[in-house]
Amino acid sequence: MQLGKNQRNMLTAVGFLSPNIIGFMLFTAIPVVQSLIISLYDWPTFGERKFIGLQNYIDLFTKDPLFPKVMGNTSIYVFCYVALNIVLALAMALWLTNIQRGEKLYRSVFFLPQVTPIVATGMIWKWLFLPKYGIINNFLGIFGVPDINWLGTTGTAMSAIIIMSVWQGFGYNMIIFIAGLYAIPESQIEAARIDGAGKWQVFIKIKFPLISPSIFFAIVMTVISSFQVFDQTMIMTAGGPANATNTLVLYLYNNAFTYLKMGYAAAMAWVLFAIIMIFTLLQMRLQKDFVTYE
Amino acid sequence: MRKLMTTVCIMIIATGMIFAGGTGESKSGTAETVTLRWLMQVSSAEEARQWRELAAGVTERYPDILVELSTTDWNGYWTKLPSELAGGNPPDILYMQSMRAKDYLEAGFLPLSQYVADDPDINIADFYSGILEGLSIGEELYCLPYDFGPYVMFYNQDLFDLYGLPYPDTIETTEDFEKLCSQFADHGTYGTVVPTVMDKLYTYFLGSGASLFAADGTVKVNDSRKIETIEYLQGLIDQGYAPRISDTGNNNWDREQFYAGNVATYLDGPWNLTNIKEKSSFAVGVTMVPPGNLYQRSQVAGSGFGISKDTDYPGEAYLAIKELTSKNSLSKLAGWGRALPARSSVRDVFYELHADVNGLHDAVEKSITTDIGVPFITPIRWQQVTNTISQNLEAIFIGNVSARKGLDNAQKIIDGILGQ
Repeated sequence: MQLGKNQRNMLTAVGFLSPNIIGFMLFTAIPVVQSLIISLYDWPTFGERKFIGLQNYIDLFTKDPLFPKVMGNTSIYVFCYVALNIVLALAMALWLTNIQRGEKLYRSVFFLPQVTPIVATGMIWKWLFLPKYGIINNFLGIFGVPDINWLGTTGTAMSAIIIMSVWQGFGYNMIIFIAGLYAIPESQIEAARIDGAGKWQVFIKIKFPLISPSIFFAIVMTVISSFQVFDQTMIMTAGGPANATNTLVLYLYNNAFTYLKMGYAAAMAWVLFAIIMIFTLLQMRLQKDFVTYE
Repeated sequence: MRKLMTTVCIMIIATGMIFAGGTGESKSGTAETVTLRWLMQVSSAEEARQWRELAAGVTERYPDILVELSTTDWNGYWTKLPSELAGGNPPDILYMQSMRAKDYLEAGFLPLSQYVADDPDINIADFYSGILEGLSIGEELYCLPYDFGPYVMFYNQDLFDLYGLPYPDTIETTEDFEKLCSQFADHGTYGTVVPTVMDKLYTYFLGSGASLFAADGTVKVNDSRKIETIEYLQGLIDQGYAPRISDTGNNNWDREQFYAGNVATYLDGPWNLTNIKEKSSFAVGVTMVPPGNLYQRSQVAGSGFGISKDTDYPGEAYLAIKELTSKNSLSKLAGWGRALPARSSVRDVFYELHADVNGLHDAVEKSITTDIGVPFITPIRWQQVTNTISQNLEAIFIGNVSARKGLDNAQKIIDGILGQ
């Protein structure tokens, strides 16, 4: 049988794409569908499985006393982390694109935490936050601030996690913003300056609108990743003290691998998916008003 | 074209299903030799080497059986074991700890009582009865134990010498213990450290006459005796006799405080003695846990080896775990300092190895007598229950909530977990 040109092209395309398709099917598509099925079962890690319909979802919202707490913690983390990350990354990007010397060095230094294993940095930050011997308390002590039990007090544990996360994560957005800032035509900035615009006006009227697609991208990606916060809370506090840093993915992990409740954990994963999807759609909708594509 | 795409998709899914299902042929065996897979948690390369030596001992004893050891760290083990059991192709020989046993034994392990009853060679009475109980469900035994131990109190001998204080061998009441702690506080040192994990705290509950289970079999953590016990421990922290917890993500926080020389005493099991000696830069002594306001009690826990329900070689696996828990193997383990042997006939090897540790023999032997040692039998879903208790105890010990409120909150969650 002679294949037509289009068919041959399609076959070639499928051939080239197949390694990726196989990987996607095996490690993403099939597990995603499986997790949806599992979420409808009372599915202990091993032992007898029972179909229970939407009961896992109902229990999550009506019976689980920890779920509201975990959702609250995650929301606080997402809000504070995203805001601080974006502001700091933008500020550093503006600074680095304006200094005369050392830009590449600083850029590398600020990006370094992003490529350092988070387990290692988490351990180091645990020591930095130690009440008596930690360098942070020692530094604050110079100004007369009494010892703070950063990771051992419910009021400060989440702040400590957010501080560490911002330090670890802002470098990525900073690089995106730097790229955005360099893409702005110098002529537009010069024209604004000739017209008498100051630094602040140049930033607000020229730079900010022109890098708004980069900011939008950074916010969307940071919101998505921050809803999935896990490593920091797992390593630094294990969700404590008193569940003050217990976040959605950590709770999901514990349900799946410590409490062996796979069905319940899968339902939690789908709730997380729904939350992220809603937030992303909302941002997509809002971008029409705030993002300039010119 | 649509047909072509459909065919490609079907092939991809079929391939995926084949991979997902596995080959089902990972257990290898020939007519002559049976290869058994053994999954074990270890904390160091040296420990893995020692377990490998015991595995080789199985082949020496039974030339037709080859034991292949695979190891993982402690936390990894409790992730890997459920995954292996869920996959339907678990290793033949499995490690199990008595405090986690209820969640695993019936669903994933082969009952051993009949094997033991049919075996004229095994002297089951040589094993400490409390740990056999911990590794059983009802009358059915699921694992042969290799180690066990009562919780005891370790103390920093150098610190006692430094301040001229008598070793804590003569503590008879909670007041005696508080007085000792206050003497350390006078020197600017903590007398003890309060753990937040139930595995260790249970000793204090037992001492005040409280049990994990109420009379109706439900798990109860907010009765008056337990509240009083937690208030007593909270008092130790508030008075500056014990440090306030600063590392909630670390179950070994109390042990690390001891290693660092920050606290004079702390509770742990003899199974950690070798590590404690290695990591402490001071002489270590051992005594019984301080008595509660009613009783002198210590909970007894331990570990053993069982056989996967899905094994193709149950007979051979039984012979293997019998050899791994034989007198010969347990003597080696005791000689390496790896375990306080579950068999009474070889326990002295452990004491001889640690002859330099003041009070070890007496503290352990007295703590396992039937009127003091209490087997720590946990309910199902213990991990979720104990995590819930720990999280609420943290809130109490930090000073966020009262003992009553914290334990009431824990009870509410536990009721939901256990459906009681």
